[in-house]
Amino acid sequence: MTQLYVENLTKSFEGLVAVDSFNLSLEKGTILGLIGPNGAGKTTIFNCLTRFYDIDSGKIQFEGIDLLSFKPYQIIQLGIARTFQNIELLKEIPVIQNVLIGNHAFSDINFFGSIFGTRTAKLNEKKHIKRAQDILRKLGISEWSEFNTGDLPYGIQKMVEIARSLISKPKLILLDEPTAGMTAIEKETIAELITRLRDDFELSIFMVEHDVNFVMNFCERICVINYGRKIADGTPDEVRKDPEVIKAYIGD
Amino acid sequence: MSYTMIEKFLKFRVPLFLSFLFIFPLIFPSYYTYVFSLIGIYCFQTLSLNILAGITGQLSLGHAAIMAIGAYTTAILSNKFGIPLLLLIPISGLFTAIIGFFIGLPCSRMGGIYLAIATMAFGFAVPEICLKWDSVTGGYSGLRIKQPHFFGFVEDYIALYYLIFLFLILFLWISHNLIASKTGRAFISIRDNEVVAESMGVNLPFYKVLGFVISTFIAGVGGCLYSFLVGFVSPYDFNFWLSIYFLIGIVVGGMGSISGSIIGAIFITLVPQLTSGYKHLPQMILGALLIVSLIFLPKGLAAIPSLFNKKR
Repeated sequence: MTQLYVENLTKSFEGLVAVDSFNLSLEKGTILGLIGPNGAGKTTIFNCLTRFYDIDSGKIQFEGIDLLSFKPYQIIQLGIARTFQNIELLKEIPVIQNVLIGNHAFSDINFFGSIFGTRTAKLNEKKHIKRAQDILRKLGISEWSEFNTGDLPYGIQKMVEIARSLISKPKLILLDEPTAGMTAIEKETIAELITRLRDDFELSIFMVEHDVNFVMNFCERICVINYGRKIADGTPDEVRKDPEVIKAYIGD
Repeated sequence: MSYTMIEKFLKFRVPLFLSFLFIFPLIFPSYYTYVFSLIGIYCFQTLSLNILAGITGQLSLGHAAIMAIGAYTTAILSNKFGIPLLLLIPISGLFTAIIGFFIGLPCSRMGGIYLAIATMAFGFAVPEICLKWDSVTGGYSGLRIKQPHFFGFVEDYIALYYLIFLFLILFLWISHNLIASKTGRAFISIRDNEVVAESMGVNLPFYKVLGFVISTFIAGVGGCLYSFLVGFVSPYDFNFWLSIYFLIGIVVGGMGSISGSIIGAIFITLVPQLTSGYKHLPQMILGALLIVSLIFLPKGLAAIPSLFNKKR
């Protein structure tokens, strides 16, 4: 079943075409890697999918729903969560609170109930906190839950971002360079984790990556873009042999 | 004091604080009760500004004007229609919140310096309107309000003191719950990182306007009680300096902290009261306090306990 369908997506910034007629159809449950040289338009595609950018033309559908009629803050409610290339967390508050932010759109706690501290509101809040803790435990970072997020090591912060996206019960997660700045061993752990999460939570994963080897070993399908255009799409083996890809990465 | 004593004090600070507040007017002379009531009223304002600037991250340089709206609403309604005090409290709050809603609508699209300038313009405009709109606001001479009469078994100023602190404690408690709630988290996410807020499903304009509405409601209630305490409102009471005092109060006390609002209110009330004989001295002292606190205690005085028992 096609979960995410993108047709002729084009986005330009003042004449510079960042994404040029990008097509994609993502099957449910796939781990898809998007690679390309610096400035190829990878993150731009993510920002278009999450509606942070208004696109020039094209079509984006998620499970048959037209994403273009939604505002950025509504995207998460449809089941698309994301992480960011440079960690975007609230550094001044504890980890658990950061995870709970991801639950914002799904928390049905009544405003007046919570400010007057009613029993139902308190119980409801406890239920959400428990879910957040469960997710932290699944990711193996529960011992950090009360720490100030900004004080934690880089790798843990990356995990907190993933935890925050998981609490929204997403169907598709967009991971923007989840292994940036990590050692080979850490990358291995992240790869295992992502596969496990895909199976446990029945997710589709769409990730942007810089590390070509990592993507080749780990993704089921790979999309290569250069100068905003898709130059290859297929299994790792197909992509590896593609002359266009070799040209883009190594040159003539 | 030993370390454990400090810890014990911190543990019981809320009941200690409350019982102190309760006994205070019964043993101290009326002037001190008045000053304490004034601290209470300024505490509404610092709390209000702290929710807007410290929690939601929306700087307002016109908060005195918002307080003025609450105070004038009370003065006008009380004089013209004789509405009782207990009804005027919610009415002033709601009316100020409606004004706050309309300020919030354009302000939710602005940020940083633009928002500061817009709210500052509002802060200058309201006293001017009060000055020129003679028929309603009394112009230069302001409006006098009859002191309310209570049940009679305590003197009226003491009853007003208790009323102010009753409402203050109610609002402090509500704000405490608010910060810990889903709405508070949304506010904090807007303050710290709008990209996160939006991608996690926080409707930015909605929550920014909500921040304005909640904040102005509290400021309006404070303004209402102010006009009863002082018994007189004039355009000069709500000048730009007062807005700056509120801001200094929350920075010195602690941005985004409820106890910081209380500490800030104490400073901005006491400094002008203690130096009332000298022109511009309070501004200088408060300005110096602001600089000292920004350098040595950027999180304000309220953050001192957390420096002692830093968990890890």
